[in-house]
This record gives sequence, structure tokens and C-alpha cells, in this order.
Amino acid sequence: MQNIRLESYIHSLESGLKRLSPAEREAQLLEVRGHLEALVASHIAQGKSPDEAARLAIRQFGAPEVLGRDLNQVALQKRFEVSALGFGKGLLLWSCLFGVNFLFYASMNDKPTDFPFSLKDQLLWSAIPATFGFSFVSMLRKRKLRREAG
Amino acid sequence: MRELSKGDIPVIILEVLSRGASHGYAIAREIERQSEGTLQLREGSLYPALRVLENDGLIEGEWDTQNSGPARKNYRLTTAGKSELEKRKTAWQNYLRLVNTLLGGDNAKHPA
Repeated sequence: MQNIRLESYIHSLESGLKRLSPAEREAQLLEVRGHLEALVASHIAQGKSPDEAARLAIRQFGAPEVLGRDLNQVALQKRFEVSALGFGKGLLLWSCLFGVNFLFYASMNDKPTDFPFSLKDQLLWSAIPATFGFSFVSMLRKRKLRREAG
Repeated sequence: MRELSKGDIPVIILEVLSRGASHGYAIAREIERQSEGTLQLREGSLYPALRVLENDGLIEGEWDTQNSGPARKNYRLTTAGKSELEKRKTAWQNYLRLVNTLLGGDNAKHPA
């Protein structure tokens, strides 16, 4: 038999999980439901009515708005880090390609006259993206270390 | 009764999981048992912490479809998680020693 308080909690949480993908949302709600149902069962085993047990379980678990906000923040952070890391790596790859081209071109004795980029341009095209790429990757690493340090 | 600080939840989860794989409800019960009910935890706050630990590769989750009851996601510590737990425990113990010193513990340096 469905518990109205529990269903209301799950519904409230579900509507707040805006930053999670549908699959992530479904999995998270399943976990939360399992935990709440176990709490309710525990309170019923102690002699509480189903409604009182659900009320106590929800109080013990915490408000759905707070949980939803925290889960959204984690999901957003993960998306940002994945995107930023991908962008940073893209910049590094770009700079490597130009860097290799620069070294190859610089080592040539007879440089072709119709090559579109000067040596200076090639150095800039590799150094600037490399700087941004390293900065992105370094920033992400520092954020991760700061988070782990608590 | 004292509320468990949000920042302390991840390392406590890692410690509980170092003793064996567990799901969220069981982790909450273990914290309750170990603290003898004196540490108050808003149990839902375990889940954002579990997500972060999972995203960082420190724990791995696996769904366990039981014969009866809802499916549960069990978490276990990864190798990186074990190493991270040791680092955080050492950092915590160093911090406690420093605070103890500052608060005039046994190793406090008294003014001449």
C-alpha cells in the first residue's frame, strides 16, 4: 500500500532534480525511496502507525528541497568539470599539432614561400592554446584537491 | 546530541565502507551505531556525498536486486578510495593534535 507522505516526498524531490539526466534522476529516486521505506519499516517495527512512521522517516531524512539543491549542485559540478576538461584537452591537442608543425617548419633549410603561417604565427598558435589548456586542466585539478581536502 | 558537519560526511562514508560494502541506509545505521546515537545526521545528506565520491572514483556503486523489497545500490571502496581515506585520516589526526595543543593540551607550549 502506498504511503501518501512518502509519495509526496518523492514527487517533490523528483520535480526539484532539474540538473540530473533522466537516468540519473530515476536511479537517485530509487535509492532515496529504498532508504525512506527502510526507515518507515523500522519505525513501524517500533510500534508507530504508518503515517507517524513516514513523518518521522522524512524528518530523519531531511527536506526534499535541500536534498534536491545539493544533488543538483553535484550534477552541475560534474558536467562543468567534464566539459572544461574536454575543452582543456582540446586546446592542448591543438597546441601540440601546431607545436609539431612549428618544429618541423623551423628545422627546414628551404622553407616553402607559400606556407600560410609564419614561424611567429605558428609559435603563437601553439603557445596561446597551450597556456589556456594547461590553465583549465590545472584549475580543475586544484578544485578537485580543494574539494577532497574538505 | 551534535549534528555531523557536512564536510565530515565523505571521510566517514569512506571509513564505513573500508569495513565492507554497504548501501546508504546501512551506512546511516552504522554511523548511528558507532556514535551511539550522539551524532545527528540528516540521512539524505549521505547521497550528495556518495555522488561526489563516486564521481571522483573513490567508491563504486552496484545495484543489488533483492528477491523481496526495493533494489539497493551497494557501494564499495576502490583502491584510490583506500589511499584517499588514509590521507584524510592522517590529515584529521594532525589537525586534532594541533587544535589540542592550541587549547592547552598535554603538549602545549606554556609561556616562560
